[in-house]
Amino acid sequence: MHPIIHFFNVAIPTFGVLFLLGTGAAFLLGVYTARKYGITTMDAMFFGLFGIIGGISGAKILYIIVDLPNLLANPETALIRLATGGAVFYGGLIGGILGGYFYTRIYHLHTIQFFDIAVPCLALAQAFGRIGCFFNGCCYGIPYEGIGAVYYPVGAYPPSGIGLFPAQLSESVFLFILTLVLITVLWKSNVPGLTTGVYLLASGLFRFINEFFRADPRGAIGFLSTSQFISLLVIGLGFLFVMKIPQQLYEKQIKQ
Amino acid sequence: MEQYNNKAIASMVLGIVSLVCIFLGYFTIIGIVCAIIGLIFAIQIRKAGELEGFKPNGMATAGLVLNIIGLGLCALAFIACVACVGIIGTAGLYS
Repeated sequence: MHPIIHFFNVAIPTFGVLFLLGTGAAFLLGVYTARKYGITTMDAMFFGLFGIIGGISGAKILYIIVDLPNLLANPETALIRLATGGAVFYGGLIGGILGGYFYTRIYHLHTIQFFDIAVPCLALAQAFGRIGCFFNGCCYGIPYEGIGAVYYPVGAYPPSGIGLFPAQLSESVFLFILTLVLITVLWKSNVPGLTTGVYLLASGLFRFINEFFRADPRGAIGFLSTSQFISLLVIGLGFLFVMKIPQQLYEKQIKQ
Repeated sequence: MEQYNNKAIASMVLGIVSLVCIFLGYFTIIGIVCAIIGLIFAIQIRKAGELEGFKPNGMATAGLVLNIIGLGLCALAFIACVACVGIIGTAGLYS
């Protein structure tokens, strides 16, 4: 496919371009969703920036923790490996949440409301990111010869010459639809935290199912993939948000 | 106010450094670190201005803008999907 875009003799990773496009679109959407709770554009933007800072740091820190034995075993290449590759997505997710939470804690803002306005933006950014995965060829699907089957060229990372299920694009389409659903829930609902709950439930459930249609090599916990295991935790957290339990705990904490 | 002026200068300088780091190839991570620190300074000044009722100076604004651009461009070069690290090496096949 097109993992690299050449622009005036400069090679730019396609995933990076789509990541930036997604982030830009998410920030624009954040300006709109922030109106729901009367949050200023500046606060919405800074919350997002803290989320990104936390995300980048978290992805790198978790990579270092996971890969520490290898980094210590080969200290001569450790610096290069730290500087070039290596990031763990779930570290980014946890770091991003902590970064956003940290911002609302410092400036005494309503954390749940900020998460509500952020989740449609997160879904939109993820949708762009998955298109980036499609162009890269990573996160590819199982062999499949039906409608929409993808055939990668010879030399690409996924198996070439056979039809593959478009697992990245199916997730991307789902996330675009989910963005619209979340915006609707945000505007119609008067319950803080419900939008966050719907996002966690829907994205966790879809990811869990979509993992069955993926064939790229990735970690496993028992008979489930690592992502499926984490999806179950995400779905559980989503249920708690829909049942308003974190909201009640948060209100109690504020009163104390 | 003195501490905010110093932070504004630091933020702007870090923003410029992060923009220069885009051309450092493998070591764009240095640019990301600089942009993150500069961005935190810039946000601190903006929020302090809002809470304490003063208008941040031009250097603070420049710092905010430069650090956002620096972080974005360094991330463009640095961030790749976890499973994609090996794929970049095959890019020559399509050029």
